[in-house]
Amino acid sequence: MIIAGDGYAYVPYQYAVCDDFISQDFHLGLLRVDSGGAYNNISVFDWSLPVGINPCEIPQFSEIGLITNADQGTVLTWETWENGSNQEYMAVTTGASASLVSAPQAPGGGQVVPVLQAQDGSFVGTAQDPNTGNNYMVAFDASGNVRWIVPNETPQIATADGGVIGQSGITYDQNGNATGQIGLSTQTWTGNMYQEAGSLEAMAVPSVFEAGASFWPTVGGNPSGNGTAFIQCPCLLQSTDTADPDQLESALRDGQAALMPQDQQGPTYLLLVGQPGIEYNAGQSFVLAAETASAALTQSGASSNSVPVLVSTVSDFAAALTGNGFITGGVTPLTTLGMNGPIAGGVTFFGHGGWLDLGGGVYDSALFLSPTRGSVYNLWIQNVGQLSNANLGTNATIVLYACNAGKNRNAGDSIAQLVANQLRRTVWAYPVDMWYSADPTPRIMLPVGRNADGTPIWPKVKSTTPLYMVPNANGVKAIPFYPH
Amino acid sequence: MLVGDTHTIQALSAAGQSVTGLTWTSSDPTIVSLSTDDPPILTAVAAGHVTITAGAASADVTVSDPTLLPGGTLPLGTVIWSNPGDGSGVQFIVPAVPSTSGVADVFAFQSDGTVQAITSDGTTAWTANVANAWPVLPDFQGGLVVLNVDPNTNVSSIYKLDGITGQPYPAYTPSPDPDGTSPRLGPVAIHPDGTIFAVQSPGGYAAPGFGDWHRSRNGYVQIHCTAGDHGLGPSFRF
Repeated sequence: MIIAGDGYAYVPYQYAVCDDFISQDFHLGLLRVDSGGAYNNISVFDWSLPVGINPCEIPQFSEIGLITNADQGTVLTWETWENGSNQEYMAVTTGASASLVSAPQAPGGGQVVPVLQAQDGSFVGTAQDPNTGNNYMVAFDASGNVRWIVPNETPQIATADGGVIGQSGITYDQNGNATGQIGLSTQTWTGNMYQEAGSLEAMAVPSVFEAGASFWPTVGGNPSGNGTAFIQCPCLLQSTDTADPDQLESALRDGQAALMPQDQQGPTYLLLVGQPGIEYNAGQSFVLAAETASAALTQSGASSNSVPVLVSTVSDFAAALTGNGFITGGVTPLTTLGMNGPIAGGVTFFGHGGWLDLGGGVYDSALFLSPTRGSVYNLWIQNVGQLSNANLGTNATIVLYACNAGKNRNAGDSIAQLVANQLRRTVWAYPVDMWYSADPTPRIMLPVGRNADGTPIWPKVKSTTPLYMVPNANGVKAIPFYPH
Repeated sequence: MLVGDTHTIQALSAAGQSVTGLTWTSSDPTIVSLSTDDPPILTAVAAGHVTITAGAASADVTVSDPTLLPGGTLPLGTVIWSNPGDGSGVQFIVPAVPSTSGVADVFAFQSDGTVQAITSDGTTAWTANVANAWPVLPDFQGGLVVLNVDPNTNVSSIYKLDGITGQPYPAYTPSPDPDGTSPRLGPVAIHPDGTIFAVQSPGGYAAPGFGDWHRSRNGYVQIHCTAGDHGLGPSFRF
């Protein structure tokens, strides 16, 4: 039984009927049940066999390989004994119906049991040659086409580049080519790594579970392995109004005008807004989140001044810190709003975050400031030295609202720790992915309804304030990163 | 530890329970200082090695200067902290789902049938007995869902271990079958919205599941919701 990415529990079952001495009738079905108890009984496959010597002998059924198919349903594989040989089958369920497709063919004809869903929606599973007993790792798509096969390997974790990490610790690219070797240990949701050696030891080793689009990137569906599909990057499921740079800047200026503080005697807060991105366009969500924060500061009674500033490059980011938000050059110059001296309150960033793929299995934690690719548009270890604390108050704190800004994949520091070290101020950031909501409560993003076919409707992003960037974990708190 | 880091520490009894009221000392407070809390908080002041002592127990602590480390971080493979568990041996570990209603970063299952909730700084938050249980699955509220079979009565039941305290509270125990036998439960699945799904089958027959054959043509499968306000769900016959 699994909880698939569409939010239903799926229970496979098989049974046989022996009503006469002519044939035995076999049936494979799948119960699909929602959290309220409503269910569908999905008929997957029926087959018959001539009776044997003992027609009512208990038949042997194969393992049902069941895995989520993103948030669209499930994929299942099974094996039957027909006409003197094993027959392999695969079906894809959508809504309350199942469709047979060609089963992936493994060496020796054994059943391919799906274990992971890769980032591109394909699957990686295991198979055993019934003749030799040899084990294989098999990548295949939802139509049953085999993409590649690696002998003597078992999939463990799907990686964001479309590849997979095997139980041996060998990393493979999307074509099944070995690209490196890592030491596998147990990784928690927040990136901490452990091993058991009679006792429990926390280790300084690179984390391996990463952000991505798969609902089932690891054995058991998620780091806890409890058989529940769990999307790593929930914001990918949220539709947003796309925004071109002109619209974005216009919206930002409107927001600034509306939020122009009347009392400028309180501490100044600088709110930095990154560009909405390429692969995933966040629209005006970052702007709205910044405006929400600005409004909250203004209304907090603390006589705060807060200024949202669009930053598209590392130079913009650095200039905003030292110029009270006044950016003299760059992609989107904005004028200062008459801030009150040094940034004594703090700095908050709203934008994309994650890991720069440097190739060869090497990643670095970064804030992605711009839709343009290139190191000058990403704040990371190579250019964080451009930032200065000259205009930061001694008690100013920094908050990074960006996916995984508080977690690095490799052994190096997260971007939050790097910024803390550089600016000599405490930085708060989340070690998980973010999504958008009018409710700031940290929580897992759940569907808000269902389409007619049962597929989930994910929460859309509002185009008005208040809008918050919400960590995708129940109650997870931001982690403080102290300078060292 | 790195210079500037702070870390909690605790003394554990033979049963894995936290012990307070001990006298804590650092062999060199200029390297690692101790707060006056009970148990104390360690602060790494300078690079070096010290021994922290509490009563008859002790622990060695190494402090490194991050400015002397490549990238300012600990070398790969460095043990950041170690937790011995209750002494029976840690068999396997399972990550907890982060939540405000839970404190564990990871659950450590011990050879004696207990499970310990270990926080991200290595502190044992609570210990619970799950000797007769399988599976024991992390839920999305920071705790554990436990499928237990009473060895004396053979009654299957599902209970939850609170994520903060480890206290068990019942989630679902099926009523006896008409023939007086105790229904079997399993497999179990945990929904992010808090719902627990369990397959229930008559006590006299094997529970259906992956690859299992439910022998009786008059058998039945029941799906039960046991969380929140859902109450009991429907049952199905086939």
